[in-house]
Amino acid sequence: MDAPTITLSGFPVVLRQAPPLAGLALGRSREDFDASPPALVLALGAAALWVCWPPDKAWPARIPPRPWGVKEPIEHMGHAIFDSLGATIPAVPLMQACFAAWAWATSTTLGEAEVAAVQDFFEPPPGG
Amino acid sequence: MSAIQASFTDGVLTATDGGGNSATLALSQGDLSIDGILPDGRELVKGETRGALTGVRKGARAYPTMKVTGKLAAPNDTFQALARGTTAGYVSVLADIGDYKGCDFVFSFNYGAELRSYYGDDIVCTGMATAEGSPSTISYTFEILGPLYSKDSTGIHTIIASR
Repeated sequence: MDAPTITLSGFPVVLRQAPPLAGLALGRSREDFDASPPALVLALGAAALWVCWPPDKAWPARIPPRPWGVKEPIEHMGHAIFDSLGATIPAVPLMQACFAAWAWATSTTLGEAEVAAVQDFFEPPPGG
Repeated sequence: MSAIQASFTDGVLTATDGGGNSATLALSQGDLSIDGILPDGRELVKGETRGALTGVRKGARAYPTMKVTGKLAAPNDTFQALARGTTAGYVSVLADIGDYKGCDFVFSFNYGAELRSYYGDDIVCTGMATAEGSPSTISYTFEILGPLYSKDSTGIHTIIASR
């Protein structure tokens, strides 16, 4: 899959690869994705847009979001990002960008199966 | 309204040009300052008559000054290039009024989920200085020529409305 090009504020931006842990947090099975309410899907997409946004390109809202932290549910951050972008960007291109970003972010990073395969061989330290 | 005091560890300074380029000041020392913010961005003009104050009016535009220092690393990193206007594809945000190169900026000092920032348009780099030391540093001075805002949990507040 080629990196998508997103144009939300007049400048085409080619998304970068998602950081591995953010990509992992964004991952959903096809069944979960299909069963998710649209608002959750868009929140995940908006979060994907942010984590894949190249740092040398201007974010399409005036104030860039804060970095994602691994303890934070990524959809919470995505919710705030979608609302922020939605204040100035029409809904249809914004939703298209979110879907493209989510598909890209989750296609290029770790999946739960890969982590589980390694985790199964991990022996926790005694007493740990 | 936040009761958590801001700290130098919170800040992030990002500049963007009119061409969609963006850069964050890396290795920032945490010493950003914005000086010279006056009400409505205008100087105070006092009028006196025989030693008594008889008038207070807004005078000429007063432009706040922003200063910040970072550790010197790459001599042409993305922030330096953007401040100088030499980034590939650079477009000045001040191109409509002249050839001095300008950017917009956001200075965020979030605390956890609490978002706090100053942001403004039309900053111009009026000074850039490097100093060798342990470690070496690079300092920037900007004038804020355009509108200036703050944003926190209470919303967006206009500090200076326009150029």
